Amino acid sequence: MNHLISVDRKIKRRAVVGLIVTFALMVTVFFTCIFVGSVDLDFEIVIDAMMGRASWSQNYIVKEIRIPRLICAAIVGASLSLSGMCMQALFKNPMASPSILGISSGAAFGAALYIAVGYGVFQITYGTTIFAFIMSGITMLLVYGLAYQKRGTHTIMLLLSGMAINALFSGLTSTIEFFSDADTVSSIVFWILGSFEKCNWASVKIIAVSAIVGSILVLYNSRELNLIAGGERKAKALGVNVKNVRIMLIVGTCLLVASSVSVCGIIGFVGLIIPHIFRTICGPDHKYLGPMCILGGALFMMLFDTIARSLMPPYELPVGIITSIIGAPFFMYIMRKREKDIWSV
Amino acid sequence: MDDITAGSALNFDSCVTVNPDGSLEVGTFNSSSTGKTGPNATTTIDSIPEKCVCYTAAYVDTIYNILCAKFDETKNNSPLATAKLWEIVVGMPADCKTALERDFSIDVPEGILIFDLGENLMTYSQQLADECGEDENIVILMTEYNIRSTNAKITESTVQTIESNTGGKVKFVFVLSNSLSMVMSNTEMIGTLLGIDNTQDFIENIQIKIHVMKDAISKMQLESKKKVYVETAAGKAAGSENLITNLLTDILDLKNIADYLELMDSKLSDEQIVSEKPDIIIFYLSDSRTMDEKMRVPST
Amino acid sequence: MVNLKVNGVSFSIGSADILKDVEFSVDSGEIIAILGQNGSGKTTLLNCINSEYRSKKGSVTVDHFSKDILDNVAKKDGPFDILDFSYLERSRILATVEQNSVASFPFTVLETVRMGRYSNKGEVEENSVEELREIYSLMKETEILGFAEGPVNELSGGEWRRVMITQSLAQNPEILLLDEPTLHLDINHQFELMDILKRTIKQRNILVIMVTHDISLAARYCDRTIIMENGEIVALGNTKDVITSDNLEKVFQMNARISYNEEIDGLEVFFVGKSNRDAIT
Repeated sequence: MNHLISVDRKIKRRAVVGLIVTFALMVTVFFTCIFVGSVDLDFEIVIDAMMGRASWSQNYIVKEIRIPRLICAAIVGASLSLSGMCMQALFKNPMASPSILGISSGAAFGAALYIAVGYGVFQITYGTTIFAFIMSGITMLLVYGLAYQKRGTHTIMLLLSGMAINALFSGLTSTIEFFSDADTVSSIVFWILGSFEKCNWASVKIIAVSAIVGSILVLYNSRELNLIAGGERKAKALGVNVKNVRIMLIVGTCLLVASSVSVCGIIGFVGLIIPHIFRTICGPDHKYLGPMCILGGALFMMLFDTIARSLMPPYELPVGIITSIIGAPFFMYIMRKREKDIWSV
Repeated sequence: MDDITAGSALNFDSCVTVNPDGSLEVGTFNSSSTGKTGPNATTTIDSIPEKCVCYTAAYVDTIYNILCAKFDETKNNSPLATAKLWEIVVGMPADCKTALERDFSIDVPEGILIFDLGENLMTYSQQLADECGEDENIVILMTEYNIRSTNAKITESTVQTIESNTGGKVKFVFVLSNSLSMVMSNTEMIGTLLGIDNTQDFIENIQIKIHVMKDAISKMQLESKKKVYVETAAGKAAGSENLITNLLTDILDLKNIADYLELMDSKLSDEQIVSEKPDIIIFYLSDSRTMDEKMRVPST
Repeated sequence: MVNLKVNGVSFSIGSADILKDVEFSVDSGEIIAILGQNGSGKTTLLNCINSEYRSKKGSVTVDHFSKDILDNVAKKDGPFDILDFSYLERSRILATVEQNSVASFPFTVLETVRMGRYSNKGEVEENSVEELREIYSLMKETEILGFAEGPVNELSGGEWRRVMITQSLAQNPEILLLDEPTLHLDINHQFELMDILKRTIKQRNILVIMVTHDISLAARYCDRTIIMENGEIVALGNTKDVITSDNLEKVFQMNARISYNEEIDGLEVFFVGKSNRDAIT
């Protein structure tokens, strides 16, 4: 019995330590990154600016540009990681990512539509964001509708349906680009590339609510995620109402992905890699993995964004490029490590 | 006049020379143009063409303005200038027609041939050449962008084929305007090419007007140059290759805060814009964002 | 003392009839073996019992289980159709150990067993010491304490099967269904497993239904036996009455001798060889 208690404690301790360390790192990164930006500001000036005591433009830069941008990055990183974790459990595949259901393509299409057609028809403040959001919801309904069977929607059907819808919206977005002039195409491409530079407090307000609701929907089902990760059939046999749980998870994921994509375009690999890393660190129990993904995702996204901002001054690279450049080799490394798993199936 | 133009942005290099025998040497561009500097090639035209095909609405507008000045008419009431305009301009692509009517309020009459770049150009040039009289020839005015090798819509060999097929009756001239001096140079070139005799006066008038403006500004004795930031519809900063921005900085003596950006297509971060505190911010009409978004208003 | 009744269950896929009007009744405290050739419908029957498949005709009912399993106290008396329960209620009555299950994520054995406690209706909280004690005794029963800490994707087939059984037992079910539990196990592990099962049943007084290919094992360990052929029950009753040379010849085309062996206190089946008689007589 004592041995079992110590095993139990060991599992918990590893997770809790991981959580504390990640939280500390995240806070550190947050405060460090406030000092980094395309305009060089001295240490003392930044401190003054945070309290509103520096010059107007310096205050503005720190309080209205850098801080909300970091917060946005944190929220987006957390959302993408959490939704990636959710998809990996739902599809029982550690290689799944939040874009597996095609929601990001739908959101991108919504933004492209607004950029190309919105002008002259109607002008809404943050129209691209709103359109992207609405389109995400429509995409989710389409994916579910396409996969629906009377007997009960099988998860594999969702996967295939997601792939189909993904292809559909990518094609439609390309079509819009084809028929648009150079300026429009350039706007669309830039939006899709993924960057935080347009993020301000308004963006934070827009995405905070849906990110929180989405997170709650996912975290609430942490225990069910553990069971579903072992197979839906088994989960049903163990008592999980898989149908209801899955709806909550997919709606939650949709909210999380929509709030990320609509404010900063498509950022790849984060949703795939962060859950993977933290699963290795603190184990696959979603009760701990969920919060870890939130903290770790926030941490890494803030870091990536800061790297993107400072790699080639005075130009700010879109962060989507950085995550792809760092993410792709990492992804390949994971695949190599899992080679023996792949061959043993 | 020389004291005004000496050493200022109003100076320009002429890119057209009329030879004693009546032929013209005109500066043009070939496929290795970089889009940044003046003409890198020349073409010889046997005699003043007097007729042209314009690919861009701005060229038609230039001709129209010179003619209005010649006949001393105003834009809304210009029977003589309009009549002469459509003697000179015999054809244009469809999007040029749309732009003329929409942006420049110049109506295009029925008989003008409307067509598009592409295969039609071969047949059309042949048709144009056939319609020419013995001593007549036609010049086709196109922006340099079309022949620049990275974006070429028309290749050098096509140009040479058409020019030789028509026995030199149809000639191409490629035009680039990146700065005030280039605008002036091109205006002179177009006017001279088409044999409009008050071209020199027209240009001198413009130079005087601009000089008066600049003089007034220098007398204002501002403590420092005012700063301007121009943002394109895509949210990118207009750097030093942008015509509008260069006109502003040259004429109004402003400093473009993005002028060190070499690539035309890049963004200035919000931090940099705020830090520079431009006095004037200019947006494009084709920008579909609302004013709040453009001005980065933080609260919805 | 739960009672499970299968009432005239029929199941078909398209035009193929997999089960035809299957009917029987079993009570707790017994191990029931379901024997039959491939394609006789054994696994389908199991899936109909645990509600994985919904039969269009007939029903599966349970009765006499402990009432506090039900969330909705207003439920009436009498036999309950297995399909009328909620997922949670059903998981407190039935547990299934499947033939194939894969572990995609490196959960520890302890965490995996703990998953079985999901439907637990007790007043104890998930992370309390009482829960841990419960899990401890389960793992002791099935003898998997030795690798409690290990990640499940490093276990051997036999170890994994025992973990799955432990997880199912953690549900505290009244009925345990097993689909080929001894398949692919080493011979010693096969016997180990059956001994564990037999002990567990005695301790918990549950009903065990086991689909198996292994006739000898069934003869030795199971109290009652059902033999199926072409979707129908062809023999049903006490093992010694069902596993007879006649039945083995009719259904399996095998020539066999069955006798009671004192040493093991159970039936011993000796297969002489394939039966000489033709299928077509």
